[in-house]
Amino acid sequence: MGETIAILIIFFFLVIFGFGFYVRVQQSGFQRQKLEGTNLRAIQVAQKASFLPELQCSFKNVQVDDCIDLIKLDAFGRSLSNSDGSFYQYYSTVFGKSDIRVQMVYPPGPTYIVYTTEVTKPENNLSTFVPVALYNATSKSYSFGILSVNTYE
Amino acid sequence: MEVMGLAIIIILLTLGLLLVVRFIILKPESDIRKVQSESQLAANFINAMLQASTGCNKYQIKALLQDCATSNAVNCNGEDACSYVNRTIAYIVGRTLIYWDKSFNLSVSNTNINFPPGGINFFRGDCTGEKEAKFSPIQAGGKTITVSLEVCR
Repeated sequence: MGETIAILIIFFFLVIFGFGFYVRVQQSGFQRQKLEGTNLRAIQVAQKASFLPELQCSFKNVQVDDCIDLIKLDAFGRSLSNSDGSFYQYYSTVFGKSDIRVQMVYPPGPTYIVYTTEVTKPENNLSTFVPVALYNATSKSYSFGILSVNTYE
Repeated sequence: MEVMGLAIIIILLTLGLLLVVRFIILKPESDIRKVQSESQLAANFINAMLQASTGCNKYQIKALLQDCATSNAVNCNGEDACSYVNRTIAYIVGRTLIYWDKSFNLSVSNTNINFPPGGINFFRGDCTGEKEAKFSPIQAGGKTITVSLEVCR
């Protein structure tokens, strides 16, 4: 009788221990998946921003990769801040919680805000830097710039 | 007899536990974002840098490298093309890769005597491990010079 009770106690102890372990493993899996999802979203937003046709240089209707037209960039920024909000609303579905800027590095120049969201408590801030050529159609010259994409949770 | 059964159960549980720890908890994290962003960084950096127009009669960096590898005839406000392009690349690298604390190796190969002593070569940190490398060949007076960038992990 005593042996049976001891076996039962050990059995239940193992069951509880196993359940606790299972919960821990699941939690670790969820964390991993969440981090992977955040990373994938950061890549997605960076790709969308660097291949946005609204900003890309185009010559004779042919778009050029890794190149941003400064006139388009300026117009985009103005539209985003001046319109009734529908423009911003549309791009918030494209970029979500993120902050996208273009900095002119060489020759030294201004930093343009492409898109930004106000986040009170940003979590999992991930930054991606994409070097781009900035085309000035007025002077027909290129600058070296950095497209920086910050994504938040 | 029951004790034997319990012992077998404990052994099996321990084995299962070890397998779970080995394959789930100790699974290396895949940093897909880092790999993707470094690959894009290396490729875009060279393209954008070569396209950038300089303060030397609006010549692009690519054109100055071509001149540097051949005649070195371009006069950049009293400075020759080789030292001017070297200084310009140093500025861009300083404001980007070095500022971001990246380990890298940027070099322009197949140089001739016209290149600055030691060639155009910038590096930082340890580049012996995994790296993301991109190359861009440039034709210059019948020969090919190669601009290469290795972004190291």
